[in-house]
Amino acid sequence: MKGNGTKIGFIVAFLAITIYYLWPTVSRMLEQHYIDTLPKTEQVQYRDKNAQRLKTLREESLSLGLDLQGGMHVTLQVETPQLLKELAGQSADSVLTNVIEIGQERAKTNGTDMIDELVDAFEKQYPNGRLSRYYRSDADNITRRSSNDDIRKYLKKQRDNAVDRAKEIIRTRVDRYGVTEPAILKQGNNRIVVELPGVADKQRIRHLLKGTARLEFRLVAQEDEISTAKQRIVNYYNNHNASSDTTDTTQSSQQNPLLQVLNPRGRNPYTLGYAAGRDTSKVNELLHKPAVRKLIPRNVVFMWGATPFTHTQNGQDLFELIGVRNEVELKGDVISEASVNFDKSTNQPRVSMDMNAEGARKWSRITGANIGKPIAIVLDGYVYSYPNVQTKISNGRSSITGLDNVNEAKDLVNILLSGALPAPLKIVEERTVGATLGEASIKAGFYSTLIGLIIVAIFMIVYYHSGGAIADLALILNMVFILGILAAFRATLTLPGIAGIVLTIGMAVDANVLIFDRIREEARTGKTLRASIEGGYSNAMSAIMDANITTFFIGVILYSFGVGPIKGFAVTLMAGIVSSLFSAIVITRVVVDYLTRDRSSKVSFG
Amino acid sequence: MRWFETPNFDFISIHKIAYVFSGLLIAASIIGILTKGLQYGIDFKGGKEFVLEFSKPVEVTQIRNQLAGPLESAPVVKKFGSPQDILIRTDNPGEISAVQQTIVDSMKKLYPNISVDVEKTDIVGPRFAEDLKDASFNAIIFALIAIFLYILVRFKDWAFSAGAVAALFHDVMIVLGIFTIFSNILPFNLQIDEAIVAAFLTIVGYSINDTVVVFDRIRENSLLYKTMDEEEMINKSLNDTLSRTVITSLTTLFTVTVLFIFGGEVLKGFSFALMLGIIVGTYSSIFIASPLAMDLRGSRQKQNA
Repeated sequence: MKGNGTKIGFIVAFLAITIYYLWPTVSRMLEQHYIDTLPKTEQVQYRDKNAQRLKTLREESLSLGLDLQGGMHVTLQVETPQLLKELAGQSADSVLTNVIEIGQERAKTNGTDMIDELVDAFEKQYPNGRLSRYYRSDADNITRRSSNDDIRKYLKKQRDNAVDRAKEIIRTRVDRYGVTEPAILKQGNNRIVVELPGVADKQRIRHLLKGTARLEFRLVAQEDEISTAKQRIVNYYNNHNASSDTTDTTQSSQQNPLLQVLNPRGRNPYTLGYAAGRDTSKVNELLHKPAVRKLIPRNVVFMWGATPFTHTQNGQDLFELIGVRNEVELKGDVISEASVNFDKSTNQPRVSMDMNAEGARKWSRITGANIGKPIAIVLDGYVYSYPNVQTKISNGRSSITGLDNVNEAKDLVNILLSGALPAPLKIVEERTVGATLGEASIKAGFYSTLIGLIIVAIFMIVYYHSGGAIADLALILNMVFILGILAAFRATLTLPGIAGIVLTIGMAVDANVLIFDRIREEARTGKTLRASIEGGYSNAMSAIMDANITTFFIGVILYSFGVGPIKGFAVTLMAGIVSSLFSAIVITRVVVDYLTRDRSSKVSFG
Repeated sequence: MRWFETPNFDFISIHKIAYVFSGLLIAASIIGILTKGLQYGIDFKGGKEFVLEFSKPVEVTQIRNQLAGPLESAPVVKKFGSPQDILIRTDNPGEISAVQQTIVDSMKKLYPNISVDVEKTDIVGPRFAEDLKDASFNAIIFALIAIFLYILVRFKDWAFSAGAVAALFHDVMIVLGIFTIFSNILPFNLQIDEAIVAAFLTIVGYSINDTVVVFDRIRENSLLYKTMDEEEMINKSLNDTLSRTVITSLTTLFTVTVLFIFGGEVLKGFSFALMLGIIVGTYSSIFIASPLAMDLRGSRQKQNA
């Protein structure tokens, strides 16, 4: 029995720590149960009165993964190519665009950093060239004389900044939207992971997350510019259709690939035409052909309207393609205040904006110079409206109309006020789980754990008799310890995590199986029970350690490669190994020693 | 109760048969993988997957036909557990919200009287999928290298390392083969995704566990019975640990089977991989890892002589 004092001390300490960490989880469950028994009105009151305490409890208790409580997991990617082009600003040229594309392509195939690849590609093409002709920054001491290596560091730093800033902006947006316990993390060098428990309106969240809110005020192109371009493009496609050898001109509208998707009869002279929503990308493709680009004046770009201006009889939405100036007159960064209100005449929601002093001054000049002409209000590349300027606006006010509903208006205000993203974000991964499926998963996980536990426990008793019962006791404590470890490390319990626990039940008894089999073996050689126990525990130790260390390795590797739920699996696997070693070796030993403290044997290993 | 009290099976004499048997299984797996291709799920291939919950049972073929037009290519449509839950997988490159809307609208048109909810969505971009695939591949390679090195350090003999890693490779190949060959035959999802890779790594961890216990016994016995000839000693070690190997495999198999039956549709493929892995892993640690280590040592000793 010597030395068991320390062991008992350890067990007590371990138990105490576990209970300490699990306490908030248990009391939160009790609290939840109590709240559910209250009538609806009192529930709200109770929550309000105890808001602070409930919040602390929630923060300190074992949290459930999105796959169990329902919610949305989104990975966003900062579009580095766009960022690099924008950093170069006016000095960006076709050479830079080209090396950015090469860098992007190589990074994709080699799995390397695209900034490194870009610099390499540039140096290979222009051995004496300097990237400093594109990038300049006083703050970072980047001048005309900066070496390409300085530029490389500068660009990486800018990308880091952009990702960090994007992360902050997203946090602001999510907080304003009102999600409890969001998690927003940086992943790799250009990705951001956003975890939002319990959100229902996925569509809104998607727009909210990636909305760059690049607000621009542009002049609309002149009528004759647009009509000339329209004629030329239509003619071009009359001559360049799929079967250009047909001479039958009466069928030209069927043969003309552009006219198949775009109706050129717009309702007003500022449009190239209109198209159904699903055809817009086809139209874009046709207009982006280099030969077609040449037919459009240099300072004109075509942008789609944000909302359908009408729809066909069978309910298909139709969008206008509007010609606007290439130059941006005013950008969204001048917006100082924004709010949702309703248009008095149409009762449609709109966003009213106030500009700062500088913006107001410019706005006044722009509107003053363009009375009677339309100005397009462009958001993220879509034209929201292009009202005619009635009079010079000197108070720096403007508004965005053409919004679908109040929520869209609210989110727009949110996005405008939390700042514009430094570069566009793209959703590269999205996983959502509904609350119903989450609840079903919790139930499935709970029953699997329970049934697994019962089967293994019965088997152990049948096979190892009272020794098995002791192992079962250790197994149950083991479960508690695993949860305690998870709570202590603020880990999240996921469905694969529960699977890890169920798997652990089966594997946790392994140490005891090794020990008990060894005890049986020792006993067969004629040793006394006490001596067999002593021999069994000490001889089994090296096999137990080796086996568990290798499995722990696997846990570490899983943790470092896995994402989301898989990480949860790795965590429970590792927690399970640590705690099952402790329970199977220390706890069973203390109990076995206690039961065999005098000569009369009370333990059987079957 | 006692099973395999003092077993004395002659494992070593049949190890050549086991090699042939395993060789055939691996060959079948490789042929399956080469002809059918690895059946990647959207984690590794990219794409969009939706699980819809209907208020009443619905028909898979009707849904597939209804969606083929609007989604511009025939989607994969399967039951997701119950006939009220349907999984739809599509390569349509459109915007997420739009695709989801298209699906829901089509379902409302097809079943005007049945309500539908989107219970689960998984959308993975092609580039992201590529990254996930690389990371998973690296994780498996890394795990095998780490285990090789650990066993080399612990048992100071590369033959043990090689035997163990070959057995792990054997396990993963066979499970992978079964997943590939049966992917559209069994009624649940057998596509290779991140969870399956996690299951593979767990199989690796589980199988190595079994193998190491035997190796540990071989090492111990080689110190106890110095005069015993190697074949006999390895056979004895396998027999000594047989009871433990069987019992642990059984308890683990119990729990994993419970998970397979009660763990819900999301974990079906994962727990199926684990079930297969435990069976194959137990077999390989008895019939492949130790005999192979022995053969490798034998050939080396002959070379040295």
